[in-house]
Amino acid sequence: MNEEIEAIALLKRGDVRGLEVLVRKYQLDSVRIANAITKDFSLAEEIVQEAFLRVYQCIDQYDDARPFRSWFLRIIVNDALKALTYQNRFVSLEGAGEFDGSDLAGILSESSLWFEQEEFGLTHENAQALQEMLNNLTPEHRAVLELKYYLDMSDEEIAMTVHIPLGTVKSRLHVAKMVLRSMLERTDLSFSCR
Amino acid sequence: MGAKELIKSFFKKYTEQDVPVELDLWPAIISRFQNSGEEVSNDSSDAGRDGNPKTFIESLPEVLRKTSNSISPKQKEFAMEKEKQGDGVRVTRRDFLKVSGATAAAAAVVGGTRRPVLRSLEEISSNAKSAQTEEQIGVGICRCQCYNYCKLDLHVRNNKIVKVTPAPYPDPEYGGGCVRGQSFIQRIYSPERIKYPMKRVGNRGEDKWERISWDEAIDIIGTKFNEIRQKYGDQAIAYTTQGGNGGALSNAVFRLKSVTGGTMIDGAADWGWMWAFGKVLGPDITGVGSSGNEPADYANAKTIIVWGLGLTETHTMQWRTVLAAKRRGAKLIVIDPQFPATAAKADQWIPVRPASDGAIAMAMIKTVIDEGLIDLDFLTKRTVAPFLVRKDNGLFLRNSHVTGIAPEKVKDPYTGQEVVKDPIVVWDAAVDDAKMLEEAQTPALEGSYEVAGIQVTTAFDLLKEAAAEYTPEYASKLSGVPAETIHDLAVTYATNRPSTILSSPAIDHYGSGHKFFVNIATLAAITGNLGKPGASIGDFYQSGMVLNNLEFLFPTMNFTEDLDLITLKDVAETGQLNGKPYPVKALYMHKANSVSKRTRWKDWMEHILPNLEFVVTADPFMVDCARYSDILLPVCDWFEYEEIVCGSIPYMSYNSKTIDPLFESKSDIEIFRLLAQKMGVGKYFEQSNEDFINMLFNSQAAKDLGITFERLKQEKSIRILPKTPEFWIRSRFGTPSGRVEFYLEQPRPRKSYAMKDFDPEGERLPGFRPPTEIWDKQKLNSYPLAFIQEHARWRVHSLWFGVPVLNEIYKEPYVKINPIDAAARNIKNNDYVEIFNDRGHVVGRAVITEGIMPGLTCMPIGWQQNEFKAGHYNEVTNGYLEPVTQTQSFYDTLVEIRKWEAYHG
Repeated sequence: MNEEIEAIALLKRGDVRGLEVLVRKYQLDSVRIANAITKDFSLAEEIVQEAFLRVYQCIDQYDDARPFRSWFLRIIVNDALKALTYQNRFVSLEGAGEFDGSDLAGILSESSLWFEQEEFGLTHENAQALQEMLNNLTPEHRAVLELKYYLDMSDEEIAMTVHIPLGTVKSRLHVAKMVLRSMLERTDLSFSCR
Repeated sequence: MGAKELIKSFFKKYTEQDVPVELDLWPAIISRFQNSGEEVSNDSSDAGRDGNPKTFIESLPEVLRKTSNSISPKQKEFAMEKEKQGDGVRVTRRDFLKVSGATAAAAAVVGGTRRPVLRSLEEISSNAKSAQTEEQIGVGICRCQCYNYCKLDLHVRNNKIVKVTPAPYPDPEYGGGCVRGQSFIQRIYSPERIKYPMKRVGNRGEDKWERISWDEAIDIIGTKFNEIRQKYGDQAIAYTTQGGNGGALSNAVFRLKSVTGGTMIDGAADWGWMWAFGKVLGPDITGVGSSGNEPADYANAKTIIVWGLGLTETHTMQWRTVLAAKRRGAKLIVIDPQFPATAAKADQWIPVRPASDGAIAMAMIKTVIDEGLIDLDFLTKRTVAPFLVRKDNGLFLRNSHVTGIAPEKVKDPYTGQEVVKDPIVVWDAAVDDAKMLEEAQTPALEGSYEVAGIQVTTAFDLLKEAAAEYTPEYASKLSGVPAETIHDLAVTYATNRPSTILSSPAIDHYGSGHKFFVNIATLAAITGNLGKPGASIGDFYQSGMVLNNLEFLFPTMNFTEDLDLITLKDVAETGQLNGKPYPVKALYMHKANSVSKRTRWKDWMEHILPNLEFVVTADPFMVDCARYSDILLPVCDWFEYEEIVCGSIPYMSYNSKTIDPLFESKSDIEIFRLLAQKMGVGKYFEQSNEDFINMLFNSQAAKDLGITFERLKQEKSIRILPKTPEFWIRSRFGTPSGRVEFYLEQPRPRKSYAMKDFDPEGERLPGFRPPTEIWDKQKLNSYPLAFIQEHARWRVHSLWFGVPVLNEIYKEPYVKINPIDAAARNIKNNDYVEIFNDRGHVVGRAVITEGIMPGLTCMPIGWQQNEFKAGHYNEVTNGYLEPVTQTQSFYDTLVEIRKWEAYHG
């Protein structure tokens, strides 16, 4: 913690060494969250790089009384959502004409399944379906879920982080929970999640 | 494993899966610093603090800001803060190419191709090291008449603005700019600018001039003004001003007019909605002089109705806030007789017959009452609904009427003035008797009663009565909108709350157009969509909140009656107003293109100008009214003088003097200072501009907020309202009763001289009156097409023009015609067509589009007269002056269209 305070103090004086400490400390969490939201690893890396560069630039706005981690992760979540907004304005031509829709079933191959089915007591088909469901959630929903379950934030903290009303947090969580519930119903643990 | 643990471990897996633990971004980040072509400083304590040129690292924030697509909140001009800011201009050592590259890169980010961006930045920055020159960045506020006042960074080299880029406000919702601000550079250096004072040598309108000196110009004007004042009286010198060159100092004309006793001629435009909101909601719903919540608050709305307002063209910044609301799930409904770009993004587009909007709003009022969707609590506590209205004289029933005891007079604790305290009496349903409002437990909303022998009815009952005939079916007949759609619109607005209606003065451009705004304000009140976060109506404008305008504009507290642009014709011609002498002999036009913005253009040429002995135009540009003047004065453009600015965002902003005035131009206040000396009132203009700004900040509000000129110069923009949704919760409105007054006790016209044509009974309650011309069956026989004029995104009103890059797109005047109407007249796309009626004509290219309904035509405006092949759109417009609000009826115009024969090209 002392190391972090020192780093921020350095950074506030314009010393780039302060940034290095912060980068090494928070890069992994940041990229993971950005990646979970955007589903684009290289985009996630770039978002985090840019966010650190901006930290260098606007560190004087950072309030020492607040934890750096949540201040920074908040930037990451918002930037990730924003980046997608900009991206989605344009129709991607990448791969256009190559995909004819005939092998839809094969899109999620064995290797692309990202969780071990046995660990969760799922069949391969169920795992595939669930992963697809989660990927089909909007980034906004995924962001809320990330904050809730990966970062252990309260609903109020999420509302503040993503700049949305508490009601919207709850409604997004609700939708997301429906997906989770259906996931849980497929596991051998048969109870609803609340 | 429990459910929560399961989900958590599931998410851990989900989140951590793709990202290797050994991930290290630091080498990439540090190389981004290094690739910028400068040494990385590990200790910045000695850099840039002693006036030495800044290293790239120091100016990096600036570059990054331009490459970053997400502008972080509270972002400030970093480097600016660190340096002493005397005049808002900062010197950085940075090459121009690098900055251009950075902006190109920023554009690429927005364009969705992210990865090549930084490479291009790196290349540009490392290759262009040799081209380093001094660059200054000034802070400018775009003050074209949309009042959004976007912030701009003005890049200056050698006293020349070389580039304009959007700059952020501390709130990310504001700013961003539009094509007009971005292309401003071409406007500053436009050939259309007036360079020197000039004297007319040909006839008025001939455009023949002779250059004169400032001394001579001021001498001619001052001498002539003094002569006319002596001969005809002080009021004979008239001034026109509107929203051009916006800013607190450039309003100085009011100061000159006040101390010399001249006449102000208002543009008679856009007053319908201001009158209506002012009467129903009070001038002061937010305590800041506007009726709506701030644009950032739209994001809290669940339903947004954009009603007759081309946000994408006219208020780009506000449009972004609407889109933000939409992203958050708000339902967006667009009501417009055309298919505007806003409709393309809307959940619903409702095309309406022009001028029928008021009837739809009435039907919405009836629907929400019939369906029981009224907000009883709001209605009882925040509106005049329970007030009892006397049948004999239309006044609210008061204590003195019941008791016969003369009302008490008390001193207002704030103003010190004596006010009559005569409490309102309501019917208390709890005791079934009349009670003073403060004592009543359950004020009755409905019913007719007899109190002390006086017959009374609740204001709410009168509202219901007024709305009774406006069934959705009836409104459907008038508007062409299906009854079911109107019903559903009302239900959505009332139930999917909070709801916001965004509208514009467009709908008041018809006779009785102000009724629409009375109706929607009432609708908002009865559904409780008012004075709450996300529940707003009308516009947000805050010019008067902080500034001590009274002292600056009216130093002698001399408030004379002003005229409007339409009444000017009779006054100039007869020298009388309402039968009393009122000669107006000289006209000083500035900040407004008054010749262009008046219906019945020919009135100017035939009746007004011939009766004026002396006409002066002061403007940066050769606008229409300049051509009809005797003397021309060159005025500074925005960034050539220091100014403070506040508009339709909750910021007070500073505009720096970024370059020296071009040619021989002077700022408006400078010109008035010279004129005042010549007119013998120099003592009111002895103060420097800085003194005047300090005078403007000499207000309680400024003190409470801690705003001083010094601080504003440092911070550039200061937010003047708290940014909490709760701020918009209102317990009191600015009306005399402090409640929403959908029933007007004592209606008055906007201008007192219009009393003779005014019928108070027609103005007490919401209602609807058809327009004067476009629904007239007889006139429709000869001129079957309604003619409206919209604003295009390439120009603003009639003052913003002459920008070559925008003229590439907005080449020449055109008129939109439905294919059915075009086919009936054998008109093809791109034909030159003549729009005409018995008042005059105008020529433009035909644009045939399904985006406009049959029977309607529309010409986007912003043109100067000499850009038309023939005529002017205001030749054909209806000269009717709405007798309640003294507003021109630009859109209440019938025309016919035919191919233009004069064109044989």
